[in-house]
Amino acid sequence: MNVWASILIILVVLIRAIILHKIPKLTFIIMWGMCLLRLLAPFRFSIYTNSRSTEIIIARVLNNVASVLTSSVQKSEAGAVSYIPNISWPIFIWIVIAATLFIYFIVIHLRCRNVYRFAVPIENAYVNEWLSMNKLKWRTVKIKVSADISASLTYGLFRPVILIPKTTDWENRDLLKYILTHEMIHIQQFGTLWKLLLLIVACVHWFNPFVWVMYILANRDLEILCDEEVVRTFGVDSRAAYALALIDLIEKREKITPISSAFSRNAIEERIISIMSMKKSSFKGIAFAFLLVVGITTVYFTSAFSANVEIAIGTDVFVLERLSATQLAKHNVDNQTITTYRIINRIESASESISGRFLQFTTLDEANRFAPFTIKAPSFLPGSLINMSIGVTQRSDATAGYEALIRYSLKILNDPDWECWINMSMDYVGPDAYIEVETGYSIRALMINDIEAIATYSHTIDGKSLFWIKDGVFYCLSASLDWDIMIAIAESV
Amino acid sequence: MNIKLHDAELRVMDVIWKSEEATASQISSVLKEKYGYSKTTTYTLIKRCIDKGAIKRIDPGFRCYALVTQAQAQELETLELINKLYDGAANQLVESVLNNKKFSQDEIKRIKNIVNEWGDKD
Repeated sequence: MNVWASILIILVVLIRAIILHKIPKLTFIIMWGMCLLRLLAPFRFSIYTNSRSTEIIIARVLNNVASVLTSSVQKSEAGAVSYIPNISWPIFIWIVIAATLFIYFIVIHLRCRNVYRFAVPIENAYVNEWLSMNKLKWRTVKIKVSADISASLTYGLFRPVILIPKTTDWENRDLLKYILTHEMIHIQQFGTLWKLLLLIVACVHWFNPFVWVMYILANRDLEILCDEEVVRTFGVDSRAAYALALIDLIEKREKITPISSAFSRNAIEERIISIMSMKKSSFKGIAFAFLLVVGITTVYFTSAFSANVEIAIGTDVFVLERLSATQLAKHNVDNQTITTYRIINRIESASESISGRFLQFTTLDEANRFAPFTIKAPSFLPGSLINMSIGVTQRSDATAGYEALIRYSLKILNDPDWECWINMSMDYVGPDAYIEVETGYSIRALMINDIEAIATYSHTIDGKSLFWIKDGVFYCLSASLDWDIMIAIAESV
Repeated sequence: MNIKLHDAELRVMDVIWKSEEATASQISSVLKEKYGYSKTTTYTLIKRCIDKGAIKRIDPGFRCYALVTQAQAQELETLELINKLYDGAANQLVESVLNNKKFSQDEIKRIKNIVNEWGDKD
């Protein structure tokens, strides 16, 4: 379950319960939008700043679900790469239920559309005149009459149609005016799109009860937002007339179709009170709403930074790349200079201090599921193979001369409750070796053999290189940069 | 014999009543021009009318004759189908599952009172 999203939802529900009728209703839609974004986004937008430049790095973050779906790359004996999808039972059930819900709602929608097609263009002079005076800029709205519906509704995102029941009291122009304005505002506010997004999120997160709470309340808030705009259009004095018109519609509908009511008592009462409590928006209300939105945004971004799987080191994004077989780089040692070896020597010198605490997994698959990322590692490490993964030391026992020479540990510092060590081992396998680093947990700070790697300054340039300075020594781990460029950077810092 | 016909089915019958005999494609083109109905929509309606015994179809040419007069045909005022679908609004469906209470006259009165009370405040 997406914990941060659930917390966001609970926050919004609480705020809603306390001050629904006191602040502009758009506030709630924005806050629900934040929740939606939090639930939908497999991508998170993070803004990183440092002394040199401000860059926006779109950090691809896999949430739990996506990470389990990622197939792991495994090297077969022949050197070929085979993809083995990791789909476990819970994931299977999740997908099946989500798909079933999707299909269910799609079928309902199609059945409705099947009925709507019998609707005919309206032939009411007043309504046609109203439509010609209230045209939308980008979309053409059609108004049709259906004998099969009991309340007016809107459908169609790009070619919106307002459907009005045949049983409508066509003589009551005030009522018509309210109905048409209400539906037109729904179209302007892209109510259909909001509802669709909410539905998708609810289907995907069907196991999260808070999401369903959001689903219901956000749908209500869309109505309430629409009501607010209607009242604004006709003036505050029209509140009572509009509210009574709504009640009349419900009353009439209940008479026609007594079997099943689609109206929830609570929802209607809430709506009516909301309409009646609308005033000209006060400065206080707007200011408070603004603060709320800022607050929720903060919670959103806080959560974006600290939630589950994020590969971020310090204030920078570490290497994010899945290695395919062809990407496994072959490294050449010849052009490296002594400075490079200094780094390696440092690592080597402390190679004995390996922490004994590893995460334990029973199978490699399980471990890989936890560690879906592969990182191309330092190109200056001579003909070496670094294998870094949580708790998985894939040490070779087959190849001759394939021996673990150096191992070093990365300590994950960001989460005191979840202290674990990433084991990183480097093996010589001759000139054709590759380096592979895997991690599936967020790294906030990095320690290489008790040397704090990220200290005074650190930076990534292309997402594949990491620099830092410690005690006057410039360090660089890079999978992509040439030596000259590294030197140039070192000199410029 | 009285036959209950749906609102849209009556539109098909209107075309046939006016010209006594009409082919399916004629009906379709009339309804397309008048109401924007697609061919399949019209054919669905014709088939429903045939099933209800309101139209007799003679091949070749899919010619349709009315079996009922305009006076015999009654409009079917039904909202049953659509009600089962909650007007296509999934949120209403979900909400009605959770809160399946009907509006009684008392409820409506109570809510009207809310409006009146608020109205008095200002």
